[in-house]
Amino acid sequence: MKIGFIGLDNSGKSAFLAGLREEYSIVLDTLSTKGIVQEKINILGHEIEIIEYGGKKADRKAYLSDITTNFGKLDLIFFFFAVNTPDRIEEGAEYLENILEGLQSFPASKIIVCCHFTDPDIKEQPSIREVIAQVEVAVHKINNDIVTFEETSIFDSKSLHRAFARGIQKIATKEDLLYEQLENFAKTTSAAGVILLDNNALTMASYVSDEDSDYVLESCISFVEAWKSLSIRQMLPGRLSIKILKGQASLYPVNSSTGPLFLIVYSTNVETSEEVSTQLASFVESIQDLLAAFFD
Amino acid sequence: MKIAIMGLDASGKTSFLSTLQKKYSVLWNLKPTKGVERDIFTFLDKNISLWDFGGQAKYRRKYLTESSRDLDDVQLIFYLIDITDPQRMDESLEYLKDILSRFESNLPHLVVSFHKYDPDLRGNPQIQELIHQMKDRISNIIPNALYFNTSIFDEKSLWRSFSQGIRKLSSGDELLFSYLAEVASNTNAQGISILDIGGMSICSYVLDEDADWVIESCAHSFLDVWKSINIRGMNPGIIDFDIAKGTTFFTLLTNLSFKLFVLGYFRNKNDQLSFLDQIPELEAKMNAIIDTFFIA
Repeated sequence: MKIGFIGLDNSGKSAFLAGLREEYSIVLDTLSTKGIVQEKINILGHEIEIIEYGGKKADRKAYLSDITTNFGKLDLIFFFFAVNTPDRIEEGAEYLENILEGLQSFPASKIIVCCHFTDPDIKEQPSIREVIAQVEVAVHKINNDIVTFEETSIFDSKSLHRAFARGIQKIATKEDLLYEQLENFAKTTSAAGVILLDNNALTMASYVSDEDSDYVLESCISFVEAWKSLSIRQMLPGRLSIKILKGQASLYPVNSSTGPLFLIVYSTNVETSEEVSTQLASFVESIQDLLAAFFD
Repeated sequence: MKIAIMGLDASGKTSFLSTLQKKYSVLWNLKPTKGVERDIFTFLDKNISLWDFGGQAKYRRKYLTESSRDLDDVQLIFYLIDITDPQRMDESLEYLKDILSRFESNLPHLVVSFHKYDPDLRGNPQIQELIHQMKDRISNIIPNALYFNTSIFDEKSLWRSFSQGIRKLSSGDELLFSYLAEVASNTNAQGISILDIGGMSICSYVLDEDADWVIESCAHSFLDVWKSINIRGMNPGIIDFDIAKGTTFFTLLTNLSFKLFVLGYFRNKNDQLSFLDQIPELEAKMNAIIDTFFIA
């Protein structure tokens, strides 16, 4: 699988990737990327290729001269707009338009638009909301079927994880089957929602019965941080729970053949935690094959 | 109360303060601070003035001239050293010496931050050695300084240094600590920490390094999840976390004049329950102590 990170110069692609790798020391002074930079990452034991396309004008021109060779093999595109430079939205949109024209049938569902530099302290400011709305309008002018927009900031590592995980879910061929398994597990344990994370806290799949459950599960992803920190010191962390209204959300560490995973379960039913304890092992067993062939 | 944040130019003073105040978006284009800039922080409902002493040479000279009143009445100095710039260690040390020599009898409390120690640089042997040497050299100038490794990409490291520094100015700190130690001993607790909603530790008692690690690992992750669920009005309650050598729990203290949280680490559930019994008494004591926290 090949994932392209594309956008104008200074739209935040390198910083996004550095943030994702937790290489923070280079985030604030990343230089303009020259040309194409490739790296490989590992998700559930599968190798994924990340291709970053330095966004300088001359580089863009060069890529566009042979679009098929440069972008033709991509399975997924993250396209970046910088919300701190609204005067460049059109320039960015034109770049995207040129690429998509050259690729002809690249599926809109495999494009994720990142409104980057949406830092937590300015996220709700009307001027920023306006810029994000402008990005959506500009992108929809090119293709109305592009619907995945993410607001990202390196000062909110969850936003990077969320955006990246949405991309991973789009290219995972077994995503639908995994979702079915989660739904099934939630129903047999009377849970309101279940989310499955890899060891980097990337969401591999989630099933939620309503918006509240979605919100709770997303919030609880931060538990992984405590869990990992204790595991560094070999303090064998186990289950982690928070009581919420009449319910409870719990993080369960699980081991699979593809590496350690986390399952977070939210339920308002008192019997859920007992049910989860009895069914967890067989559930993990049932998804092993799916995860082993997640991108095949 | 006058608190100064000092250090050479580009040592990260303004970004340190901006991150503490969650003003992330300003970090992208910080300019050198001109002269002294004043900022107000709130700690336990009290306003605290923080003076950001721009570190360019011309300003440094000015603060140190005999007629300058800039350093008058400073009770606490946060001194930042950029550990990614080893060439400037001597210069930084000279400046620190010059600052301290401005004070005759009433030496301020000193908190030294080895700053820009980003998470991905931890474990770098050169940096570790540099910090080790600098600690030695500084302790020859002034004993009793507190030392921290800090990074804006590890916000808890900023909070830790900041809160421990501020607490040096409190008359109630030792009282609270000895009370917490007493509760810990009565309930067999390995560690107890009181946190405010911003993540600042008001007081922390830990039995050993493991307990310190547990408390540090859990505090911010738990607070993040709690706050996130609380924003949606879903009434987050107690957080429970099983680990090999015991259990941790986290809850809001409901009968205080401020919103504070307690995080406890216990060898077993029974100890945790006996601690729960003590919470009303803890709250009463805390109310009394906190009211006079900064009154000499």
